[in-house]
Amino acid sequence: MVLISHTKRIKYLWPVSLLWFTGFFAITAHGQSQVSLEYIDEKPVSVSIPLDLFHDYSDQEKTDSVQVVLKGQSTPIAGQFTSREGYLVFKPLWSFTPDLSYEVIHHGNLIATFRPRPSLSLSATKLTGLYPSQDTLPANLLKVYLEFSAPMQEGKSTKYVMLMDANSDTLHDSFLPLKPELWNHDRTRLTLWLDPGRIKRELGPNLHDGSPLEKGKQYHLHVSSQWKDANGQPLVDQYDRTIYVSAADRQHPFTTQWQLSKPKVATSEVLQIDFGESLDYVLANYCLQIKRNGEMLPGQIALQNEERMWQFQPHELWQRGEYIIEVQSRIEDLAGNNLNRVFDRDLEVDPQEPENQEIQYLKFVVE
Amino acid sequence: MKKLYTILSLLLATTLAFAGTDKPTSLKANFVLGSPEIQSINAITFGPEGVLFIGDSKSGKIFAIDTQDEEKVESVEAVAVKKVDEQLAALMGTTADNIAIQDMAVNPLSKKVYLAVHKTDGTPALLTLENEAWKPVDLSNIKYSEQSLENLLADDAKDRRGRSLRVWTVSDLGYHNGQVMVTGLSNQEFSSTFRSLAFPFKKEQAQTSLEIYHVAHGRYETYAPIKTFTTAELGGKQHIVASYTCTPLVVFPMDQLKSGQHVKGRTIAELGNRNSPLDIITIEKEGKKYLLMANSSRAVMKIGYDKLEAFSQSLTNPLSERGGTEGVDFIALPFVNVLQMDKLDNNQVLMLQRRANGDLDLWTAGSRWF
Repeated sequence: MVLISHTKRIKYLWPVSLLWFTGFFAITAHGQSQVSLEYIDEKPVSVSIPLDLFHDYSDQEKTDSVQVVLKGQSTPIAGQFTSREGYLVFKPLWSFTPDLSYEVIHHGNLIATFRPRPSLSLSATKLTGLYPSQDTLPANLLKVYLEFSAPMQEGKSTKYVMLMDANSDTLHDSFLPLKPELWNHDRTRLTLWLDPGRIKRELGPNLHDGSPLEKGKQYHLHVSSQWKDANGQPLVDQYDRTIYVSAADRQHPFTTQWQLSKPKVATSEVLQIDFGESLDYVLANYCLQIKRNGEMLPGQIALQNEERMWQFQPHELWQRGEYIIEVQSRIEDLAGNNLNRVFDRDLEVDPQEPENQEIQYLKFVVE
Repeated sequence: MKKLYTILSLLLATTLAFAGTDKPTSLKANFVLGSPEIQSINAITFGPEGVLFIGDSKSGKIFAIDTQDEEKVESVEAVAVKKVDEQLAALMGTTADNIAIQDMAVNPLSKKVYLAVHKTDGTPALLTLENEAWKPVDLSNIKYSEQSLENLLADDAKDRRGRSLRVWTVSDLGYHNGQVMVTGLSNQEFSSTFRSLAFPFKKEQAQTSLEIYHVAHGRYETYAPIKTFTTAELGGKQHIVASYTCTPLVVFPMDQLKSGQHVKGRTIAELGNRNSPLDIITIEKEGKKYLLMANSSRAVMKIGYDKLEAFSQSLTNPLSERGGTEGVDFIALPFVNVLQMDKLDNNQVLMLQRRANGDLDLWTAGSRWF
């Protein structure tokens, strides 16, 4: 919705579709002045105020004491005024927020209002993935990843991501409310930790509240459509998933138990590694690489079968001879157990200091 | 006589020369003038000479900026600002639900208050309080230096645009005696880093990076991501006092900070279920030092340094009652929902508190409260 008024008198409301690129216009009481917003990358970054709007004032008085405020507020928005060909241009330090109303005040009088439009050219944001993909998860599940089609607002996950029991009662304190939240660079993927204090054996929260997920029980994970993207627009749909809980996983992954396929020489057959269990979605994507003679092999990586299967499609044909798969030991299963150690090591059972090997190596031969 | 004059002249010249070098070199000597590319402000803390350290998770850097706010005052009037979030939002041209306060720091020289704020679209802002009004701190054309957090880009994992996908989110930042200490949480593996960077920053410098573990009641050991920390001199030695994300309060001596070591903090308290310390500071009253801790769901706690020093063991018994606490003795102060806390001056503590009516107020507690 785009709205402009001059001293509270709205003369015209132009169709939004006609004003797609130019912002919007206002016809003033004198019929010729226009106020417009400038958008960069869909962000409303400045407003141009025609000097005609200050017609009752001397040249000097025209541009002093102008303030731009959020409607209903008296604090002037921080920013800079510059003059440009009959306009006073106000550039806020932080871009305007779409769909909020702003006012231009001059010597205490309301000169104009404006309302930046939402990012109409962008498609609506969706939750594109929730990982782990499988519905049956270990009682000591440590992490959940949420992937979105566009950057999201930060600091809001505790409000919009809910774990509920079989009776649809919300279970509070299941996820650790971290501030700042753990987003990737462009805020399209959020990492949520189930409260590690409740998962770690013998710690107070674990002893008294138990693990957030209990073996044999059923839960419901809900992501609200009220959650807004970085442009202030809510998600297209809510997301719901039913979770079934199996026994805790207290074994760390063993690369020696992984099953490798045997691609044939002079083909570009997919190499498959069957982990035998679902591994962490993000780490499984980024912790493995294939080398030949010390050089990294270019190719396409994909995860299949609910993150149990790693696939590598080489860009070149396989050559006869030995290949090395380098696996970063930080790769984890769904319970946070990595190649070197389990999530919570029982010192009575396993008193040996864990290995501190950064990389583990697997070999395969193409014939 | 001429020889005597020569000797005297030489002595004078030497004295002057030494007098010239006697003046301590400014910590800002290697700062450059420009506009630092700060992409996020997750944590802030002051060093000496009005230097503000900014922890930027998005760029994976620590920035040291010269605020030029160096005028020393011993004490200031109590600060009281109502509805801080609404005031900040109005200045930023948006509503309070569109901003998130990331951190608060008081300049120990000028006693001025600084707030790091993010708009929910991720745009960072640094603001300071002047004459009871918030002002943006201009981060263009300033003197600054920066230090990348080592290993951040050493990761082989890159997306299609060649950027590292592993982000170390800065969870806290501290400065002590020429060292900037940074804790970070990974958005991938369950892990944490505790780094110590020498300041002034140098182009090539070693970074101490530790793996920190926590052992619950002498039995179960995990990595222990640190949420917040401070430094404290206990028993004549510098220590880190930290709280882990999994709740315990721990101490470890700073002389253990040797790169690559497997460090286990000594658990001195478990502060109850469903609670996590948010901020830790040190105050001094009548010659005695205390830690003050703000908590996510409990009152502000006060612990005497003497109690920390006397508690020499490590907690080995599980909490005896649901929601109970265990370990070093503390006093619960009548302040709940304190989100940020810093020392305003020697006699006052500044708190950002969510009031019972929902307002977010900044107010000052005088020494009578402590």
